[in-house]
Amino acid sequence: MFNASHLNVRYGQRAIIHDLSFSAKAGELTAIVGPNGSGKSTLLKAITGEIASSGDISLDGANIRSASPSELATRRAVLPQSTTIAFPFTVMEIVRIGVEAGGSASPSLALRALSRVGLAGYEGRTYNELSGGEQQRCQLARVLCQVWEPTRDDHPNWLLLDEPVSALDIGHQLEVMRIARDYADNGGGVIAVMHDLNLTAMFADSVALMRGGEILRQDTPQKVLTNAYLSEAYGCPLQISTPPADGNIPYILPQAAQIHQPR
Amino acid sequence: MFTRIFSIVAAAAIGSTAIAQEAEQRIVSIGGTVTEIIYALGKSDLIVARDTTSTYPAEASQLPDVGYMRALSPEGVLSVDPTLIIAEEGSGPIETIDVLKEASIEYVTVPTGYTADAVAEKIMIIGEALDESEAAATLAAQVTDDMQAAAQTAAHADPKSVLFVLSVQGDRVMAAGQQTSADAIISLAGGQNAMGAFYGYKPVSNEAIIEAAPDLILMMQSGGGHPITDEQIIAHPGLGTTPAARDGNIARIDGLLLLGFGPRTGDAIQSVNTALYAE
Amino acid sequence: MAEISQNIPKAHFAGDRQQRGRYVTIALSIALVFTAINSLGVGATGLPIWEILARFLNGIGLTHTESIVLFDIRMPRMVMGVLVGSALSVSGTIMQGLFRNPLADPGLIGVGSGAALGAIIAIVLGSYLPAQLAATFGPSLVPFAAFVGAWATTLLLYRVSTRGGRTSVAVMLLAGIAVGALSGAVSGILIYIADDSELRDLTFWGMGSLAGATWTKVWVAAPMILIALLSAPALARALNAMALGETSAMHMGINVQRMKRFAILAVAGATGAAVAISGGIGFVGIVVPHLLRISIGPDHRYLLPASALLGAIILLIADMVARVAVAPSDLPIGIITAILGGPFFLYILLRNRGMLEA
Repeated sequence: MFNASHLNVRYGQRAIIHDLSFSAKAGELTAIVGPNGSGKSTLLKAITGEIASSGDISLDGANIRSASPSELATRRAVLPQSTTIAFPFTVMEIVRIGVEAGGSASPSLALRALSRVGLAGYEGRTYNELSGGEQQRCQLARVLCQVWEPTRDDHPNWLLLDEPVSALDIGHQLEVMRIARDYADNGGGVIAVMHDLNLTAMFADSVALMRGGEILRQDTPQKVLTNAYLSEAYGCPLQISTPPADGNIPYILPQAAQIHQPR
Repeated sequence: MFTRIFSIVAAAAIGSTAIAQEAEQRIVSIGGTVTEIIYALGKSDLIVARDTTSTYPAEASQLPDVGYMRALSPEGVLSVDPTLIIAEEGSGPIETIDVLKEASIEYVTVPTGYTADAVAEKIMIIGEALDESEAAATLAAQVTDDMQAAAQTAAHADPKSVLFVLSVQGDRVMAAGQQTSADAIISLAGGQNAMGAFYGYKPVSNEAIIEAAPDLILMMQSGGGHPITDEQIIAHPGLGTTPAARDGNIARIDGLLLLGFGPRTGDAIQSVNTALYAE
Repeated sequence: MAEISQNIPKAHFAGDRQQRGRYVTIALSIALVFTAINSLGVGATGLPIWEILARFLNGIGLTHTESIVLFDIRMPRMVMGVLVGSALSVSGTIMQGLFRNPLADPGLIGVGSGAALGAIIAIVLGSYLPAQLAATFGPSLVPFAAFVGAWATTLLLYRVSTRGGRTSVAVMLLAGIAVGALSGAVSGILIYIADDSELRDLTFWGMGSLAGATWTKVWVAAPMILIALLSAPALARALNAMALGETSAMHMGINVQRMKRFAILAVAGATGAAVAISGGIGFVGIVVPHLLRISIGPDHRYLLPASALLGAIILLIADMVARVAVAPSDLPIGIITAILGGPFFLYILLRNRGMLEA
């Protein structure tokens, strides 16, 4: 259980997040969605401890503020939006850094992680020569290595992903979302900041919809991804349709034609 | 290098030659004036190496150079196998001197000074170190006489003003202030230092040069690396407007002769005096 | 380096250069021992190493002068070369890792400008010290002042750039520029009042040299440098993680702030001590890590020890040239590292452009 309550984040005088409460359960994929500037990434950064915040943040009941970076690193791994590398590390070396910082990663684990993200055979390539999407998947492999087992000693491990599919093509988007889904299905916890509402609808168990530094609503995709909430959050009309084959998954289409018409 | 090693080994093995060599001093001479005095005492054949500033007489330049007098390397000095080091005050670094003293090499320091007495003292100290006290006394007396005679002739009731230019770098003039050897030689030659307001060698502004209005510009021959031509002086915004430049009173004298305060300083006084008051 | 890298056997897994790192480290260790022994036989007086060995084997021994040359000149000089070379290279490697920039050097944390200011103060104002105090310090005054200057500047920069328990690398860089300008100005004032011979001393100090090596200097500098060298491996994993950025390093379990403080203090100690006893020796700290990254990759677990070894080797070789190039005079070693290192570095850069472009 990842829990944040009465969370406040300020940049100087401006409150980015104000008295927010958020929670995510192990065994679930929790998505954070919302328009640009709504505070999605800020929320993720606050709960990873990357930026200063006030309020309570706990991981399975333990206050993360009093935990050391190395303790936290064994319980949760964080995938940043993008990573630039200072030196010519190979893909293999990058993936192993993830665990070597705390212990040591066997080469075979690194190879398994790479093949899981579709980068088998890329071990010897220099990270900086990879495409943006390949770099993002290489980072995912590194993050997976850090908390490879979804649960350990009956405690869940956590993946915190900041826009994990933003640089990927549709095939790899689905593949990466399946990896996250599997992790949750095996007892781990996943929190992902998402832009793509359709992928969110397809893969998430819980959706936190943000606007203006607050969570408008957090519930199942069926209850959150509705015309009313989404229009309120994004400020533009959206059309939600539900395909006949699977009544649970909403399809969200922006009604482009109406955008130019005065209301 | 190889042959030297061999010769040391051979000398040590034979023994008798080693004793014969011991009688002869092997001198490293540090400082232009020190070298000059050793030559003047007729003991130049004892010098086995000299420092970078030892450029007079010309034969001295043929000797091995152990580097700049304030940045000596201990092994460099040891490599010429000296028995005696005669060094001007301020030679170093101290670490090197310590090692040399530890190697049981006699080390004699020669003080600097800008008066006839100081020059005489230099000569006497070097003479003593060379076991040539009598010759040194004669030389010292002669040099003192030269200097005093030259200074007396040179003395002037209304001294003209002299600007000593150490170098001109990018139109910036480095001039001599008080407590410099240039200041001393100017006074002895019956002149007055145009830049009496500061100590040491300092960059001076063009306005200060114009204000000082020197009657003579004094420089070292090939001083400061770049020779400065008369045309450059006349074209210079500061130097060009001085009475010295207008009248073409620009003198260039060898640096060691002019500023060394050694056996030839009497000549230096005369040369500067001639440049100031001749015609 | 290029030759070495091609003869290294393939690793068990593609992209894993650990085995290569081990081989290169072993090769460099052997090379360092060889270079160090050889350097005992190089100098203006001749006396090559085989001659020394032959003398001892035949029980002849050395003459008084020869033993001074060997034990009081060449040996402290060799030890100082190893200490200074490894301190400068390891410090360069740590700084580049910490600032995530292959051009970073200890100058960024104010060591250079601080040490220079300290040295200038000692050289120019040393003569104004009360005689008793001057006698106590003796020849250690300039090294001592340089070391204090380096530390004081680094601590000032660290304090300025640390707020709320976080050190901002960007603030440190900018503050370093400001402090550098300030100490440059103070140095300028002192240079203005310096006399001719003091100016020459300053110039020679700036070019660096091992010619003034003494056992005293070695004993004083060795602890600072050894502490940094021995603790450097503890930074390796953290520096690797830092290559992915400060926040990623933190998420991977690195206590980034503690690691930064540790790295900055270690570098200030080692470089401060090295610069204090040898003056300014440039270039080694930037070139050595580059050469090694091309050969064994950027993994700091191998890069740090290999840097120490290669830095020591390069400085010993440069110093051997310094001793004999213009014998019986001695060239400042900074000139040699630049003359030999500059073109070689350019050649390596041109040959390995692809490896370096990030």
